[in-house]
Amino acid sequence: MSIESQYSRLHKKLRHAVLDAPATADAALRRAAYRGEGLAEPLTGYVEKLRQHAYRVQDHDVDRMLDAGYSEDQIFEVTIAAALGAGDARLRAGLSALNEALR
Amino acid sequence: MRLGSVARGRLVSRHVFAVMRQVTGRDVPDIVKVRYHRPRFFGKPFSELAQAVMRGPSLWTIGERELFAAFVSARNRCQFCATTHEAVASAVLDPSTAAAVVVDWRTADVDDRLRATLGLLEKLTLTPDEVGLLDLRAVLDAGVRPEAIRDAIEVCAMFNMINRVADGLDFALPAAADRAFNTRVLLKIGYR
Repeated sequence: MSIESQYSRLHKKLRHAVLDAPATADAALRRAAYRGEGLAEPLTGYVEKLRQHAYRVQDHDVDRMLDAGYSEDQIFEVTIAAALGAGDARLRAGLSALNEALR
Repeated sequence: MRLGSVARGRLVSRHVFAVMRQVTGRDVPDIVKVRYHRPRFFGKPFSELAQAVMRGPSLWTIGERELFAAFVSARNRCQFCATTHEAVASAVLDPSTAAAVVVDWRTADVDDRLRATLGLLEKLTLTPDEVGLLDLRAVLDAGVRPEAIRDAIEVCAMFNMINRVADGLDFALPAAADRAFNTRVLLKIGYR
């Protein structure tokens, strides 16, 4: 018996919109934020904080990205992509362990 | 909210926010502003998924799913989501139980099924890479059906995502009266 998300179609739709559809940040940059690897500063520091302890993000984390030339739209996209990556990591870890337990 | 352009909204959403403020007599919550900001990029597909996960068919009641949402948000120390969803859970479950679960699920007066699920969601939130077969066996052994575990994992994943959006962008905490209003909206309209 294998158990998958009831909402695979909706998850795919959301991932496509956030990671693949045209936006202001490159799809490669959004995918890097989603995976939490392959980013350069100041994005690395911000995305790492989001992934590990988002409540510690401060105004200056966002200011550093603005100072480095990233637009608000790009920062918005990076934030959403990184957050989605953290959510999906839990979805995958949980469902894969569940399926292992059911085998 | 840290991004001024999201807080202000674009041309169309600015009008929508003005109407909302007029109709409700309240500020537009930051989560609503994010959902309206370039909705095709995030707001629309996110709301569709959130409505399905939080209000679609499930072995968990709406109150139990809201409790999971509050619990996960509290473990992530996301005050905006924790207070918002604890208020919704408290409106439909016993308020003292909801509060007790958020403070300490181990000692809260809940059944074994719920307690085992909360234990899993805590580990999945804090150390997802360490979740394995034995953690899931423990929940199955407590009598939770596989479909119910799946649905709880969905809520956990969804709030691990939105907690990071809320704290990354610094959502403003609503005043108590606004929270009560938001609770009514979430129970009546849901996440649409």
